[in-house]
Amino acid sequence: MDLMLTGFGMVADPAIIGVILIGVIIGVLVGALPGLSSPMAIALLIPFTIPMTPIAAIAMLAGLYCAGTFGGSITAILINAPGAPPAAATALDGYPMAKRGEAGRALGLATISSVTGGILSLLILLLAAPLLARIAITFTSAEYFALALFALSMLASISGKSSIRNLIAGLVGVLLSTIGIHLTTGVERFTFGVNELYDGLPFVPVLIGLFAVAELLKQSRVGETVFERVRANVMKLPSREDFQRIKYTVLRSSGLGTFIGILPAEGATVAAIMGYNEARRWSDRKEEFGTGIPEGIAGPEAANNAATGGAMVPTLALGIPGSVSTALILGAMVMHGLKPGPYLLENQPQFLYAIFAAMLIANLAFMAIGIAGAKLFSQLTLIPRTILWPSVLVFAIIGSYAHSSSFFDIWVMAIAGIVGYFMLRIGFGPAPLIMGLVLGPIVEENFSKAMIIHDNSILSMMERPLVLLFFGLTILSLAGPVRSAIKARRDRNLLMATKEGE
Amino acid sequence: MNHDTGGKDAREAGLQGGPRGLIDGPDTVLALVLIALCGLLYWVSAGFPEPGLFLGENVLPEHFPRLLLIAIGVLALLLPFEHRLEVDRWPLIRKSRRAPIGASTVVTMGCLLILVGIGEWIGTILTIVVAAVGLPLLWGERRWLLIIPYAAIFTGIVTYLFSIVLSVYFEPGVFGLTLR
Repeated sequence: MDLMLTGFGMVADPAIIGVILIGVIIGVLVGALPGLSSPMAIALLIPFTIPMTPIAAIAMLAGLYCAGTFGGSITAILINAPGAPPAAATALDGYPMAKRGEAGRALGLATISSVTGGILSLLILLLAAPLLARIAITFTSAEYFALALFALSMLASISGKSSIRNLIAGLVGVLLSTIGIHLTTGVERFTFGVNELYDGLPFVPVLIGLFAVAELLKQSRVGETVFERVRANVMKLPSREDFQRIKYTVLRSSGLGTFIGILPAEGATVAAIMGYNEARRWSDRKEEFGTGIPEGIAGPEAANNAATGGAMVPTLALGIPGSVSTALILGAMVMHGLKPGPYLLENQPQFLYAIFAAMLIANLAFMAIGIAGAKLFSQLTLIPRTILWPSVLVFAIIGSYAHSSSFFDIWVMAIAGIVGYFMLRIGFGPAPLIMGLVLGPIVEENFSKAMIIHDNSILSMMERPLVLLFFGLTILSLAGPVRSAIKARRDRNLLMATKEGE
Repeated sequence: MNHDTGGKDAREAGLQGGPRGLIDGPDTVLALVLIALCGLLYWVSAGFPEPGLFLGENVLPEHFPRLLLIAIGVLALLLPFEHRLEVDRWPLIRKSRRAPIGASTVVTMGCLLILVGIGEWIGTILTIVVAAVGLPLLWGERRWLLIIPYAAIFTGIVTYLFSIVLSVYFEPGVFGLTLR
């Protein structure tokens, strides 16, 4: 109880509540703007947190993370343009409901479902993270290596254009993390004589380049988009009848979203799609989905926001990110001198309560901001792209420069952006690369230690049951996409045969 | 796990004349480039200095990167056959790969590199001012009444925030521009 009060007390400072609110407003803004994403905003915001205390910095980023997922639903409902990928499923029923003249009801359903999903997942975070940390503290380097390998293998299953490309990008990220001085032997690796690379590839400029500059280059040939707008009337909280209709959907989606969030590498987008599918599967009005029914909004919204709390569980308890946004938060924690993982929760358990309190405040804040400002946020898409994207570029330049006041970092950002743009074109997303970059040091450090302990024998490592379990899960996770590919191929052949028959 | 990120469009694109051959040409080239890069880096790793005698008992510094390079190389070997495996999602890759790179994208890339190149010389403040004015102009914005107030107010706020509030050192450049 004392720890809880200490943790809450760490956040109950007006300055910290202030930065959480700023994070929430930025999150809703970014979430509402198509093209801008939460990971991009977190990457751009990290440099602002340099002078802050670690708690204030992480609270601000956590606030942005929660709100960014919700912000996308505003534009998904009002203009059928999901501001963020996790809100894509919300548009399926949100927009038709808004078109019927019930925009306020749709926004109210989305807000209440999001907040409920978020808060329920935070409660699970509070219960699961210490338990997981207690188990993880008994892990040897072999188990940690196997776990990190499992997290990397999950990249094969995350949404994207290709499992093979996700895995390659993840491994390239790990390879990039080996640049610089090898800590165990002091040997320089892949620095090519560049002094600035001795400490490794600068993390923040790479993030900004891959998420912001690559997207900016993609947007350079997109014309101004004119969206068909639905009149945004005042947001209405769900009626008693709506509550009755969505309560089980919200509970089911919250559980599902939290579980998906906990899985390493899986994030809010997958949770939202599955939340929608499950809401439909359990509904006795399946045929009404897509026409604007409350369950079609509540399902994905509760799931995508629940995934944010879920993703924080492995991030805090194991130091293994649950999603790309939490990978960035994890990177920011390391930048602020924290080492996420079981020892952090063991030595500073109040930190977990502080994060819980920050995310709780963020959830309540975006509910208030969402109710008050939905109409305003939907107008954000009126900002001309010729003003929006130059602003992103200015933040990208200054954000890359700020960490070490070095123009070398701006070069890294520009090159990462150009490489990221070409990677996007050929089907390699930035998310797996960043996950690899974050997981890289964990994988290598534990691999090296485990190899020394086990006399350079992987077989000797596999005598440990948990290592065997994680290796088994890795194989299953790699086999998942192969199974899906075979099924998709069979479905396609069947469809073609049917078409030929007709 | 739901892998359908492209939905109906992807499936239809796949049905409408996807490649019938065993290997895909552009992906074969991509695989060859990746394997060549892996080979090059493997060769570079052979040049890593020897660790000291005592430290040499650890896992050697080239060991882990080499494992990664081999894994990337093996995965790259699958790329030419990927269109046969990922029938649902591969059409999306083909679509984005075939989309032309616009002149505006190339010019934006070039200008970005030039701006970064001259950044240290003109200083940090001028670099962000040039970015705030140059990019709208480059993308066809001609409303000066929008560009000038935006550039002045926005870059002013950003500069003040980082230089004064966050105490970030700004390179003054040849013009000696600094707020501190």
